[in-house]
Amino acid sequence: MPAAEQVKRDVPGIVISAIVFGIGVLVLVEAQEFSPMGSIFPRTVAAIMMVFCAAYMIVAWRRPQPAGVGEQGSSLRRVGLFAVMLLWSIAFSTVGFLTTSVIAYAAITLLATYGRWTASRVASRLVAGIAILALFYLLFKVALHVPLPSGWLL
Amino acid sequence: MTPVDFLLGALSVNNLLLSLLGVAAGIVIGALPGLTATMAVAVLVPFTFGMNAASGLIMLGAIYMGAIYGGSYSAILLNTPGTPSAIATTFEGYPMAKRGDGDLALTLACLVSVFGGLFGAFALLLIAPPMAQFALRFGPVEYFWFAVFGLTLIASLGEESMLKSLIGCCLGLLLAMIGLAEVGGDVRFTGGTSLLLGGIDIVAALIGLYCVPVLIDLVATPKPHLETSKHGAGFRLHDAMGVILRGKFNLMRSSVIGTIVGILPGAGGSIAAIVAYAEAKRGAKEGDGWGHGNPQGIVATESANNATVGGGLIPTLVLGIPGTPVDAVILGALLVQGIRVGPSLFSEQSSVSYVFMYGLIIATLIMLPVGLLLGRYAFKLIISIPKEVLTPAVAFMTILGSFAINNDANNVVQMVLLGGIGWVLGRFGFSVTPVVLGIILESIAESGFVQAYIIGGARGSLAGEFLGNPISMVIIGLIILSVVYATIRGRKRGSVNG
Amino acid sequence: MECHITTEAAQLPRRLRAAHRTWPHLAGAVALAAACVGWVAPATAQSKFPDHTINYIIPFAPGGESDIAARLQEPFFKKYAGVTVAIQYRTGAGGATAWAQLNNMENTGYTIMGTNLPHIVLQPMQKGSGYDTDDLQNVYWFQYTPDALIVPAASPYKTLKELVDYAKKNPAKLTVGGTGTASGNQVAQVRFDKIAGIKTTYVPFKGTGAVNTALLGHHVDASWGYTTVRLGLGDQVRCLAVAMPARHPAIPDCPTFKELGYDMIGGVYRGVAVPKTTPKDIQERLSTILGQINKDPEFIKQMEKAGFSMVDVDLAGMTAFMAKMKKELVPAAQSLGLKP
Repeated sequence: MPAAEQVKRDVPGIVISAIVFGIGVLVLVEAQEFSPMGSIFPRTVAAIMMVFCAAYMIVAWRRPQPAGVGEQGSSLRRVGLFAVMLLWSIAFSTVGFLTTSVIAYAAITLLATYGRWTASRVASRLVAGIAILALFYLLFKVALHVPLPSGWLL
Repeated sequence: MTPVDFLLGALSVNNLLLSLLGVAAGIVIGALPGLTATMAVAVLVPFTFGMNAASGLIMLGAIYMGAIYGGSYSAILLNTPGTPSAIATTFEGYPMAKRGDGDLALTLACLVSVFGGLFGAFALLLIAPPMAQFALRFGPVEYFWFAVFGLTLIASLGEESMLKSLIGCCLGLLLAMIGLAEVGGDVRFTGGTSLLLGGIDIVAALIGLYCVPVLIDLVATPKPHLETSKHGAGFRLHDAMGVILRGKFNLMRSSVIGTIVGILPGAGGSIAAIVAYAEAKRGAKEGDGWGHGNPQGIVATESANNATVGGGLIPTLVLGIPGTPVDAVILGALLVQGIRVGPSLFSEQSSVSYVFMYGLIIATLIMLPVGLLLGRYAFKLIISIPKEVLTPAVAFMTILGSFAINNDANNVVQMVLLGGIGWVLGRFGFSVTPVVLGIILESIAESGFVQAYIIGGARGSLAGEFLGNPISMVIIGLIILSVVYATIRGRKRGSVNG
Repeated sequence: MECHITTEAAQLPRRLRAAHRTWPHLAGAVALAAACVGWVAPATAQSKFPDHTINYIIPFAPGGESDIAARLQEPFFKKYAGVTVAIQYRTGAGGATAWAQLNNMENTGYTIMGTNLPHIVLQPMQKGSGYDTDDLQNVYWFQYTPDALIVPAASPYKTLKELVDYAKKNPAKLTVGGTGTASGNQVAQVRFDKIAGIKTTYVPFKGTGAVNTALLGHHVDASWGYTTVRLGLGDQVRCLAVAMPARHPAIPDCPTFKELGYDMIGGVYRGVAVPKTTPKDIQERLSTILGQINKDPEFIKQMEKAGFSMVDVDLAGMTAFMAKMKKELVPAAQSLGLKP
């Protein structure tokens, strides 16, 4: 890996620090509406956090560090997994827990699959999927009395 | 009755079976992210009503002990603390599993959990009344300083940039302020909706911040989740005993820390394990592979968190003040059973409570074979399941688990969003652990501060309230030492790098 | 499945009324078709409800007073309703998270939720609580934990008089702990301060465990708790007075405020609410079941032993009771800086 020897500025770190700095400003603005007692902590923490952010931005700009190993693998699959989980978490209470879970489970299986699909592989994954979904669904719903929402479908 | 009678009472076939069942159920529940020890005990309380009081309590104690240990399974194998107590176990446990030492990590966790659990249980049996008096010395000010001390430990946790850790910690503190402040009554940072009124749930945050990033990286490459063991997935008892013998002092110190932190109502296993981890790391030499799978980390965290079980029961049984949320459920069960707790429970040698304490010790011993066996199966299961089955199954568990905490769909959305944030932060060198530490310590620090401020104001001496008592001064001393140590070490590292 | 049909049927009359307003022509035909269904529906609902497990949601953490009371009720549901209850927890924001969601839950009567007074009156006065007091359809109030002023056993204040005398001479010096801000405990504090003409400093804590630690450790001088707190802590504490009409049977040594010359009765009431759209006859059935449980001598014995006091406010008396409570809480809310 030739990049490991390279010295670089931590630009993403600086960007994140800037965003967090912005969050600090928002906190300070909103804290003006709190009671005196309720605003001590938010104000202090936000102020300290902004100092740290500013310090990091300066240090990272002036003193480049050896660059770490870059991101490996498929970014598309990463984004896909996060998107599926986000949609799942938003939709399950209205659409139905079981329905969304079956769809999301299938989608994540596809996202995590590398190599070729053979008939036996499809069959074994199908059986495993149904078994896992059924087992945990029943464990939570029946044994632990968790009211998993049925929504429109199921 | 004599101690032998109590011991024999606890040793009845019925009680032994209940312990076995309780420990096994506890381990499974603790290993599933989202199902915490509190929930495990709360769900099983009704079943104990049909039993006699001692048997019911023994089963609850066994579940509790098992669940705290079970949390280490998912911490080691999936980088996801199964219960908050297992947060610090991820630090060294997951790197160990990644490089193929998952079997060793699980065996080690079992051995030291049993040791820590026994340590706490014996403290409960032998020195409970004086220890409970110690817990009472901790007022709002002491809790405030204790939380500040906890925050300084970040310095010993992070391997990455110190400034980044500090930024993460502040972010965690602010996240924990979202919602209605029970002390003070302000509604903060909710954006005006009732969705965030309850604030960010700690368990949901844990699942999101630790587990979702693992899932995201899991789908990105065809590489297997964990390296398979070079040792053919055995118990590796011999290796584990070697680690423990080398870390004798670490084991003792961590068990003491766990017991003491457990006694303080409101602190809990997560903080105990983090303190024990930081102390173990500080006590060790530079390097030694900390953060990259040093088994001494597991020795520290798993003995400390299991020691909090016995420790937390001390104020519960002696004072009637629950040490942890699980203890609150156990106390409720005692009340429903019609048992009065309090100092008399110990002085009058009440048979139920003594049978319970011996039962807890026996349950901890039973955990040794059960834990070793279940750990081995869990390890084999996780390394043999192909990626395209493991990923959706774990994702399903995170959704189920984060819903089950409060039966609230909002917690699930919180979990996933925090997971995305956690991945971005982790990718760019901001570790999530300082964020989590901030979330956990915020309420202890802030409510302690507000209360001390009000009390100091009423008594007319703020300085006296905050500084003028021996325990506060000791903790402030520890804070100063901790900061000084961190600065010196930071300098050293800086000079090596620069 | 069966229950689903009966509920649908039970809702019919109301739908008919709505239909009557919008489509007068259709109404006749629909009414005719539905008449037979509507006729039998209330009877079926009455006899069939409940026929399976009822979900009983507690908006607080397990181990608290609400949980313990529900646990004690649990076996009696089996006795009087013939079904089991599944106790679930949905904690957050002192109960507000759960109460704000109640009306979105299934309205079949199989979802019931614990409610607390004064919480459900005071919380909606703050911004962003997400619900109004009138959004909650309470079906029964079954117990209350009377306010009690408690000091550690080693406290210099042996009687209420000694404490009041000290507070009179030293305004705002006496620290009194309690759980939460603008909570039942703080209401008790401001009410008593007003009645006794004293000024004490209220220190809010997170949960009963935290305030009890501070009390036993002498970090606060006294605490506003309930009869349950005195019983839970036993002889480690002394109860100076309880806000009940007569002394509590489980703590006969603790006088009432009334005996000592302070007109104060109050505490935290606990009951059960259902989603607003739950059919009226099912609400009545629930109210009847809870009333039967509440009059069972064995249940009363267990509740009083744990420090609870029984009250019986059923569906019929609900409107009047809520109006009375809301009126009573106005002055306290004003002293807490809330706008009623």
